[in-house]
Amino acid sequence: MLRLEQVSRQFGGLAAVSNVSFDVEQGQVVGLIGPNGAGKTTLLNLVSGLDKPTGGMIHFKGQPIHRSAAHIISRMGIARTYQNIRLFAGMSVLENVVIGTHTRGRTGLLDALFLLPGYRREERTLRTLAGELVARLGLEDFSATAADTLSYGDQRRVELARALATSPSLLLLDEPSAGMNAAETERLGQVVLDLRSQGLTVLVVEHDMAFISQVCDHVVVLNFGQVIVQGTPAAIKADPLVIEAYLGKAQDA
Amino acid sequence: MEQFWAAYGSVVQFVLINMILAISIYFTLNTGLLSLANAGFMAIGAYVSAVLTLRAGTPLVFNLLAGALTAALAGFLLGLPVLRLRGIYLAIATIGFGEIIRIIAINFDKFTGLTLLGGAQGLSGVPKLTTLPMLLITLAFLIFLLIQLQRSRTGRALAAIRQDESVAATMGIHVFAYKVLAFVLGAFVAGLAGGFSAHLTRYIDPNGYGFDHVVNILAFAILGGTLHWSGPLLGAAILTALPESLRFLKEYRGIVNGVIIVLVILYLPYGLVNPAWFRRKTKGVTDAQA
Repeated sequence: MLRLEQVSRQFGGLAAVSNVSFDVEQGQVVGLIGPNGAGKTTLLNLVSGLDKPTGGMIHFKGQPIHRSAAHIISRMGIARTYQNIRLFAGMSVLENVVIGTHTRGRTGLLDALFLLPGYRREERTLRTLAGELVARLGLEDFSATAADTLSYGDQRRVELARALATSPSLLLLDEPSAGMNAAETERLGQVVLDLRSQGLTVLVVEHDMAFISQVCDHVVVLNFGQVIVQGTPAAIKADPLVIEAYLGKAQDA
Repeated sequence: MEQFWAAYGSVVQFVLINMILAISIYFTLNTGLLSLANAGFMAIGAYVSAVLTLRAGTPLVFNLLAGALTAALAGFLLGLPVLRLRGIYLAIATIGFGEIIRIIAINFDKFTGLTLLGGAQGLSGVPKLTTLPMLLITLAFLIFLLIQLQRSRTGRALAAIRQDESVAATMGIHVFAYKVLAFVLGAFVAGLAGGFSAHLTRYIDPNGYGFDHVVNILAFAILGGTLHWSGPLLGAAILTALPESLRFLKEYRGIVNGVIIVLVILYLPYGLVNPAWFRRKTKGVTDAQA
């Protein structure tokens, strides 16, 4: 479904991502892990179109997307959340999610100006849809609350609802469990598994190994912008290269 | 009442025209664009509508719309290249546009050999056709437009772009197209204000639509605040009426006027109208009910 071929991103002399290749299969949950600065967020930016690779190709559903604008990629069915939460501050939880439904609407300024019947109908449909997503993530009590006043964990769930509102087939999650306690993380894992069972494909950047083991079918490990290992969560945890990347090399006594 | 009207009738009309201008800059500010082309668009609307009135004798409504549409077209053509710029760079490019319009207006007759725009002397003898009801109806329509815009899918997209362009793009919002839309709407409304102004003052001074004027328009938005559409309107009303009501201060008028603006900016950095005040109130009500 998503194929990265020799993808690179140079920032001046720094190779944030170099020659990364891996596939994400339809219906899989793929984990992307690695130490800080390994290039995980850069990679998500490249896939979502916020940044362009300096080399290599990215294909989504067989179409090349490495030169496409972010809004085109979104319309093709890729949605994302952000590591440093980027909600629309001052807007309510529901309004944030309604903005996510943008591409499902058709009406423009003139429909709203002349109060055409289609405008009211569409507004109702989009709001109902956003309301359902808010409820699905357990946020119905905060629906009218300003999104930026919620707790960290709740804000992450709003981001997830907003991303789902774009009706994606591939969801990119950037450290979704950061700032959540163990119980919240567990519940988030359940949400991700539910989404997978409904046919959604997920690429998730995460540090929490318990979360990775809970949800991922396949894990890709990055270090210094390169893929060092990929495999099942169990295999990854036992891999000496991964242990070295996270903990350093064992010294011979 | 009649006495008041004789003394302040034109002030009221200027207040209304400036409120229309405030709406024109609100369209772009509300999309996160610091555009200072409004005086240039106003000049286009003023010249086109006045020349039509003087030379073609077509009805005022037609002339005003022709002026506004010409300004909108100029906005579209200008927007395509300059809306790729952000922040202060966009501001500088649009100031440049205002200067270009001013210089074209001054030199148009000399280059074309026509006597159409009156060169540096400007255009005088424009009939006074702008009336109070016209301005009130226009303003009411624009306020309705703003309210409907805010509730609509288009308005949400513009607000999303103001807050975070990248996130807006990953929601599938075509950021550039919406920026062009906001820019063109602002140009249309500024062109309309220009037409009304020319048919009220009966005179167009090409230097009257320069940098000073655009700073005045921006001041409406800064004083009133841009968090709610009523902010720039209030700012325009105050900044137009204040110098008139301070006339008794004679030569100290400018100083007091300036001090009031500085105080507002210091103590109310979001402007005079801040929707958070209403929100806190309604939140308090729901808290009490809970």
